[in-house]
Amino acid sequence: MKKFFLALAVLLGCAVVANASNYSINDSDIDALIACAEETPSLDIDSFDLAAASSASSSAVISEKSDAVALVLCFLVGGFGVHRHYMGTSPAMWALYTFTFGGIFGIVPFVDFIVMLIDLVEDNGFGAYYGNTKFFMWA
Amino acid sequence: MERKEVSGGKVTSTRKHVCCQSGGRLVSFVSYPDKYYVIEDASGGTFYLPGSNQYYTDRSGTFSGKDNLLNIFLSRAVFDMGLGQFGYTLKSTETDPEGYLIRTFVTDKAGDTPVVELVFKDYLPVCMIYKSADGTLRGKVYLSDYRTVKRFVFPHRTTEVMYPNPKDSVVTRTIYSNLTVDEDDELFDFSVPPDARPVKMNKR
Repeated sequence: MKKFFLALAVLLGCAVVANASNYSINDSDIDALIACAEETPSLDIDSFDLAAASSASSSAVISEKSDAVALVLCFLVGGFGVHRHYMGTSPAMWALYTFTFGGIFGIVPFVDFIVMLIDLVEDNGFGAYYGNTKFFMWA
Repeated sequence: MERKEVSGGKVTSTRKHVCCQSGGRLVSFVSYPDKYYVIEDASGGTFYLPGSNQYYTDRSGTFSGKDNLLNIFLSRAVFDMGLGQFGYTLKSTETDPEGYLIRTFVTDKAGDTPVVELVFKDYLPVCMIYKSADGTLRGKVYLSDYRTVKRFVFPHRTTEVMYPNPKDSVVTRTIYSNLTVDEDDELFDFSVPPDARPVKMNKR
């Protein structure tokens, strides 16, 4: 009986130690691991290469848009939503503009043009319109 | 906060100043190794480079303020560590002889870790264990150095050990400092300047 309880105590003790070590970690070991590792450039922001984007001489794909070009496109072919695709939008935007007879009979590209012109004059930039997927990009 | 990630004998470091608002909006200013801002909310993340006045927006769901540790503790979602909002359901609750409370959450959603075990000690989460459906260990997150900042209890040190494959492991240590609650910080009001230009990024 005594041996039985002793064996049971040993088994329980092992289980406790295993459980305790499963739920905690030795911070000193981690600190030592970090101290021994070789410092390298950060891989932060997951898989995106921010360094390449910030360097003007890099060969990374950087797409820069011109506000003036966007405005001219809106004036000339705004009825087909070309200016929206230049600034980046959903793939079907051209269809929305075209099949609503030029953006609700030209009203939407007209408003686009006026809003863009005002922002250009006030030097606000077209930042809010780049990548905008709304039909009414100024809403 | 300072984060160090170790993999294959190499360590990468990041230092950032983080402001967390209720609702999951997180604004970070990364000061090392590069200087840039990150705005995360429920819809995604925006990165702004002040040096070149450029920004990038990611709406793929990779970045979200919802699962950030600060936001979880601030919104007192400690019961399930925010897993419920990602479709996880509670499968079981048990207590082990050491007094650890273990809650097991599961999900059928493709792409998510099938099983997550949350281990609590004295009502505070101390360990999160990620497993495959067959029980294979995928990783663990240890939370420690709990401190109270005003009405806010938060682990000031987290250690993640992830196993992308049976032979490798990635260890990430995050240490929080200067944690403030309900104090004015200009970072809270930061937004991307309207004249900033959008850019595309190279994926590594």
